[in-house]
Amino acid sequence: MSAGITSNEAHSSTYRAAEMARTIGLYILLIVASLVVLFPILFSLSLAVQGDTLAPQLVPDFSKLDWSVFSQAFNQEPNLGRWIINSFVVSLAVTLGQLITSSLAAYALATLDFPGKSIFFVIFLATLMIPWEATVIPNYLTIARDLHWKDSYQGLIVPFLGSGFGIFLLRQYFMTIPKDLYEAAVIDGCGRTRYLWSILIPLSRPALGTLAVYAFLNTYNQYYWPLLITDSPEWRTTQVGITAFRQTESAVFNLQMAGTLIVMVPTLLLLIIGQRQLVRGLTSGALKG
Amino acid sequence: MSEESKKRLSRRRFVTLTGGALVASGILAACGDNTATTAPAAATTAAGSATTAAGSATTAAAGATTAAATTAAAGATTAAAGATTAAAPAPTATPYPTVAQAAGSTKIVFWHGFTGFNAGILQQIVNKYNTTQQKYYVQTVANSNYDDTIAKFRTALAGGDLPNVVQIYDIGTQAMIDTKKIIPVSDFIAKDNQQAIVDDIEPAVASYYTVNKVLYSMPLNSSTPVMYYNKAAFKEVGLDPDKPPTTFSAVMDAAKKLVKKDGDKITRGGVDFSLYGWILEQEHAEQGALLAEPDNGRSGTRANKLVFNGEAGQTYLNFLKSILDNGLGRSWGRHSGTTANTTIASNFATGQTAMTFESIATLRSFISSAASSGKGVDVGVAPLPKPDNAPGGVIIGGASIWITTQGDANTQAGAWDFVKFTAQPEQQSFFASNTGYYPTRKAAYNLQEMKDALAKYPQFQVAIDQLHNTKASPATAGAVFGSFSGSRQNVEAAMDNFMTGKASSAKAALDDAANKENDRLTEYNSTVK
Repeated sequence: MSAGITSNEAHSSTYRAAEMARTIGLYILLIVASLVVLFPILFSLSLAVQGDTLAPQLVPDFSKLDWSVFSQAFNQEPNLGRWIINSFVVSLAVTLGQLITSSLAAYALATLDFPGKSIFFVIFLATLMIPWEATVIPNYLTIARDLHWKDSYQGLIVPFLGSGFGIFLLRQYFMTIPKDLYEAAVIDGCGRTRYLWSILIPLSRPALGTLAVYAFLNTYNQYYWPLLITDSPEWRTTQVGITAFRQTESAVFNLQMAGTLIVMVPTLLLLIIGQRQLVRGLTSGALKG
Repeated sequence: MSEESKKRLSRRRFVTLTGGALVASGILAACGDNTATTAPAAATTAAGSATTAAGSATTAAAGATTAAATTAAAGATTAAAGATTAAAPAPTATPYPTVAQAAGSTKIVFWHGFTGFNAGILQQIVNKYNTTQQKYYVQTVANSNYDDTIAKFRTALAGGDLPNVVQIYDIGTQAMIDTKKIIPVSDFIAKDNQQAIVDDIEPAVASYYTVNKVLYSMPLNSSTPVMYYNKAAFKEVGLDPDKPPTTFSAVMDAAKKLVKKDGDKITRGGVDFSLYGWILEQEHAEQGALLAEPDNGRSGTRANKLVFNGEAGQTYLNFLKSILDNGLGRSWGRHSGTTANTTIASNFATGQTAMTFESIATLRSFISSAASSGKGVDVGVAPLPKPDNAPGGVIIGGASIWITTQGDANTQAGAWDFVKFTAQPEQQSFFASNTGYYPTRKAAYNLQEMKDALAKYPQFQVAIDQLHNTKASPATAGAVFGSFSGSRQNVEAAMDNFMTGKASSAKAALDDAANKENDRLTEYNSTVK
């Protein structure tokens, strides 16, 4: 508005400079934030490459980085790759299984009318109240003694295929979808199965996404069950497996950290590749719904 | 709109960039530095990758590999292990492929709690057993640590599929006896006429695992705490590096000279420590005091009262507190479940701690870290200090191996055969000279391997002398009670309360812990007949 310099060009150049400054500021902020978020990873990398010392530094001596620690980790535990595969197979199978069983059960509970429906629902809910520790021994007896499923994928997967939490979560979500939609679909000649598959599931992506992430992470992070149910090293999952890098009497961290980083890379990759999909899945429904 | 998309783009690019950098460093790391690997290591890599291939191809990895290949692999590892021990005393990665089971042999399942380097040494002993006889085959199952091993064992009790042999830590002794699913080693010794073995076990070690005159399990790895001190710092301040302090008051006097301060901040602790229940137990033994009544639970009557809140415990806590109050050193907080010991070890190796208390089993990593830090730290080992005029004596720590009732008579006989094998002087000498534990057999000291190890680590002799100078009594045998595992948490919390001033006196702090632990013990005792 000031006199003289009201030309379009000058205006756009100050605008551009301001935008530039804002972008730089944003980048600095992002770099600081990501350093904070990445600190655990960077710190473990730093510990990993410092050699087998009891006295590591926060920042390693860059003149003598010991990258061989990663190949050492594979040397010491040739099963490392297998553990990662095991963890993925088990986590994916459990996730898929929970999505299927939970959505089917939740569909019945949310849309159908049948005698004893509320009793079933209460029973499902009641399973949420039972502490996990109380079920370990019965589960162990079934899997290890009766079915002889020690050291197998079945033993690692089957006990977790059903989930009270998943049923509850999906039922609540299915209830929010108006019944009119079902009636309209039926008028158009849509059956129950088709309604679930073609309408309810696509509409429930946010809830399914939440459940999938929850189930995957929970399974991936399991420790005690895989420890119980596996004896031979090739059936271990990563969480149990990486404890092999711990030293019994002294705290030398380089191999532990190398092992931890190695088992983390695949999950990290999956997150980077799938992040856009995941975020879209979680938010799209929420915006439209 | 366009600005919005630009922002999103830059954010996306940022994520991709950081992600890419991480992945790239991972890949770099994974392929990096193949040139540095030595010949035997390369041989084992080949053996290792062969196993991996077999593992992914079929489920029966061990069965798939041919006997010849695995024997070669085992040979290569032994060579590699030998090379690493000679070159570097620090724990290094040791691949330990198992040998294949011979046809017609009886399988003995052996659970242990070792990981890393020690697990490799143990596997080599197992491999030696499996290749020197064909009647039995020992299959090892590594269970992450001692706590998880006993937890898994307890769950397996319900299922009835126990291992045949299991390694359990010292403090799990009473709990194991109470499972009633174990066969005392004494029974096999009597049947097999092997009293000579028992007579040759280190008396302090044997007395720990003997409850009411029965030797329940065979000690495998034993250690005791010692005081580590920096000889170079002693010289620097005019103390005799060959005459370390051995009593609380002498430690305080030395710490006064050794401590270095920058204003109020300690830059070199005269004596640094963590709050470690194990050391508190040791100080009871040093003063001839019991931890549990009656007789530390060893004379046939189950321990029913914990008494670690008496004078002996208070003396130790007051000693620690006066170190802090006089500004002679630092407390790094609770030991169990924290990294306090790492902090202290790191400070010690870099010359920022002049004296500290730790297990003798960590001697090698102390020495190698001190050497690699380049701060001129000269590692000295002294007996664990005790109050002035206390009789002295320590309790051994570590683990032993138990034989279970699992399997038929032949399997149990095989389990005993293996346990007997691990107790031979040759195995004990191999284990001790490659780790930092004592040999449990006196005869092991006559073997060249052990003599060489002692020549290389003369500091180790101090710990051996400390063990040999300990007079056998219920106090130095250590306590056995069912709720022992897990009890150090409360004890260390009490120590922390006193050090940080939350508890008014050592007595108040320990009384509180003793009350809690007595409740746990009473509850435990009510569940066993």
